[in-house]
Amino acid sequence: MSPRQWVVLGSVLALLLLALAGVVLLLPLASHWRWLALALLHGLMCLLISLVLVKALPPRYRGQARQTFAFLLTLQLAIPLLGSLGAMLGILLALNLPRKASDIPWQQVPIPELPFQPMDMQLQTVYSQGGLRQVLREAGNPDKRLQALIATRQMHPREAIDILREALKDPTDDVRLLAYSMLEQKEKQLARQGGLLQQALTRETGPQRVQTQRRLAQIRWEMAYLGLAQGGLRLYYLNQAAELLREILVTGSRHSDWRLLGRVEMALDNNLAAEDAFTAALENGAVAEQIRPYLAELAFMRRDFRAVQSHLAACQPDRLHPATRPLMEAWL
Amino acid sequence: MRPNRRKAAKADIALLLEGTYPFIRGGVSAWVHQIITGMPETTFALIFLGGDRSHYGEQQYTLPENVTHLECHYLMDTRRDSKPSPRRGNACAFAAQRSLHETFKSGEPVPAPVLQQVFAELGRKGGISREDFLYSEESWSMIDDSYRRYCTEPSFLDYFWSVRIMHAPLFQLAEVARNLPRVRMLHSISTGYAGLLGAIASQQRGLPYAISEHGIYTKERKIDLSQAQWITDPSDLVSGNLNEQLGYIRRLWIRFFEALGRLAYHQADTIVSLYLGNHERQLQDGADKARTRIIPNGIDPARFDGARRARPEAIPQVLGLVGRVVPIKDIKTFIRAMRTVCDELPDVEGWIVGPEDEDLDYVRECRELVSSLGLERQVKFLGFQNVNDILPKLGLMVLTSISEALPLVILEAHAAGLPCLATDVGACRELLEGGLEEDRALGPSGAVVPIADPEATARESIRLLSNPQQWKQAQQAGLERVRRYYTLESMFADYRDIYQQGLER
Repeated sequence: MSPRQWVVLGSVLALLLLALAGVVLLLPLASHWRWLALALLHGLMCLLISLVLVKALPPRYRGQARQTFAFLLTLQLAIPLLGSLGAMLGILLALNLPRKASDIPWQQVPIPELPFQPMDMQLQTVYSQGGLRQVLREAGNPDKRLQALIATRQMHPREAIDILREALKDPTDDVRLLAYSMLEQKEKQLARQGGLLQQALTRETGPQRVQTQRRLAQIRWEMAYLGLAQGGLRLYYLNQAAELLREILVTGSRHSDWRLLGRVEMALDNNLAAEDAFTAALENGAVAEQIRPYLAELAFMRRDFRAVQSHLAACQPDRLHPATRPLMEAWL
Repeated sequence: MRPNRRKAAKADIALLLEGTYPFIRGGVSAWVHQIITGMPETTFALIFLGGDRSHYGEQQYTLPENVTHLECHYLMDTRRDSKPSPRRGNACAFAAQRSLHETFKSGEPVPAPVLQQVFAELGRKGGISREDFLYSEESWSMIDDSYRRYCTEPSFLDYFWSVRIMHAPLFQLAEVARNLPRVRMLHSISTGYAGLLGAIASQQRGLPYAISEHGIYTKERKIDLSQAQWITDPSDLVSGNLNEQLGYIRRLWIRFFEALGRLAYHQADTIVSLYLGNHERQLQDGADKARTRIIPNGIDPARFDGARRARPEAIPQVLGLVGRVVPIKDIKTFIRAMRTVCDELPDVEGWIVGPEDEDLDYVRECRELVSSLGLERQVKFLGFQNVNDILPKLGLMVLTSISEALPLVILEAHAAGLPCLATDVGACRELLEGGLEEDRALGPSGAVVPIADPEATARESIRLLSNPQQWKQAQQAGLERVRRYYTLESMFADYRDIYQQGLER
């Protein structure tokens, strides 16, 4: 049966029940029997109308038929007659009449452009490292020098720090201040780590202590290597790093510790001690390509050019650091 | 907000103070105290603006009798906002805002009628109320429009909240300006928020307005913001080039403070700097030359006679840094220099004399540096002390600041017969080597070194400490320089003149 047929059948039955109710009212019954008959008829009618209405629901509302049925039934039971009229009007008229058609069935929207575009590098001033230094030294306009400083944020820290130190002597306040605060930030980070490690050293023992000492030595070395510390302060940090490394090396030999000690000694101009440390690193299993270039440098400093050659010859070119490769090509 | 009103009364001058007197000790606060006590015939109302209420403790100064009013406002105070509700917003007032922002972008001076309209109506029902700014459609469309037109960063959220946070204090300032006690003239001790308050109040009430700048607020903000960690820059991971671009939000903040500075300059009748360098900077930042003046700081040399007489015959082997323990004083460079000094002269001590309650993190970092350099025995933190008691015990005053204006401590040290070593910032070179020809002829009263250079600082300290003849010459030059060029009387005379001009207007 179609929904329409359901509605017609339902309406006929409902009218019939209504008529029956009229008859009940006219019959000379005792009051409680009359109320009982009316309640029965009311219940039947609600049941009937709810069934019909559920059938007459537009397809998109038929998802949860049971709940809908329960809702309609309770609504009508609770509000005799008016509830039924309301439910019928609501469902048969409001839901089934065609909705008002919109004048414009759809709206044309352009594909929105992303508000953010990647930086157009052609419009940017792009510096090379040498050029950057040049700008800092030569540019008359302080704004240009400031911008050059900002560009150092993307450089390797060691080179950036070198440039920043130079900018500390700039005649313009702004340039000096910016350089200072950039340097300060880098320094602060290392100092913070160093401070924490130093505190940890006071309570740690055993292998953990060795690990902390190693990291502290690396940080002290970093301070000097990056150029954050100068003069007496640099020496102080280097000496501290060397001392920590020597302490670690008493407990056990690791080639990376020997290598770092070698570099620290070299920075302290203790070339003999550096050579010993590098040799120890090799003996403890360091890769030749990591150590021999330093040994070659030390040999160069004592003017032993034959040793320079032999150290470099012991390295495999493809395993060398790219920066060292041209050196090797020149010597061999 | 309920201001702490000491006594509500009319005053001649309202001093607009941002983050200084009477809650923080330091050069600027000392100067403000000097001005107030030095002019007992003038009455002052103090309007203190702070950031976070918790950063300011007890009042550090006893207010002189001629201070008739003190009120404090904290711009970061979270206030209970009204319940958000949809609103249209005043189209006309927002149009005026748009035109104001266009003028800021062009760098042109803001036309007086625009300024008048914007300030008069800010925070009011007829103009842009706080609620309009926060919830209105007009406000949303202005932010949305600006984002689409100018912002080069991807996050609308970042932009939206930055704009809201940035402008929120302005409504508070407009309210403060409306509720100011009745005064006859305004005097702000910096630009920034205090300067803006001066500009708004002066515009609303037609009062004369003067600015005295010790450091240059806009410049200091700019440096802070270029490095601030709370702003994240979008990272450009695609190109490996060195480009000079600061993030848009960062630039937005910098431009905001530049605009505040310009507004204050445009509105002020007199703009004072302490020395030539800062005067030039003010002109560059948009101050009208005809309204600028240079008035150097001054001290009363007689106040330090006792300290000078108490000085022992031999040079005490103590380097003293007198100043607050805050990053701008670069205490760390002093500590690092002490490492080198102690390697050469093991008996030398370094005293850090100044309050330590302003930046606790920095104090901790400094103490950590002292212990990491093994200087616990030689470097001492003495906290706040009476300068007159400390000065005779020092062999050299060291000032490692990365930014200064005209530091009073140098003048005080000179008056107490103590040579100084200072970084080449602000007027320090002028103070130590002389400005004018005849001043220079007095000879150096100490040494000047580059900023953040522990090596140079150590070298010059060692030279002066271990060379009594040079030390004596520097002492004489300092005493004479202060007596001739930096007296309090000439400073008071200049300020009396400014106040008189304003009050008679």
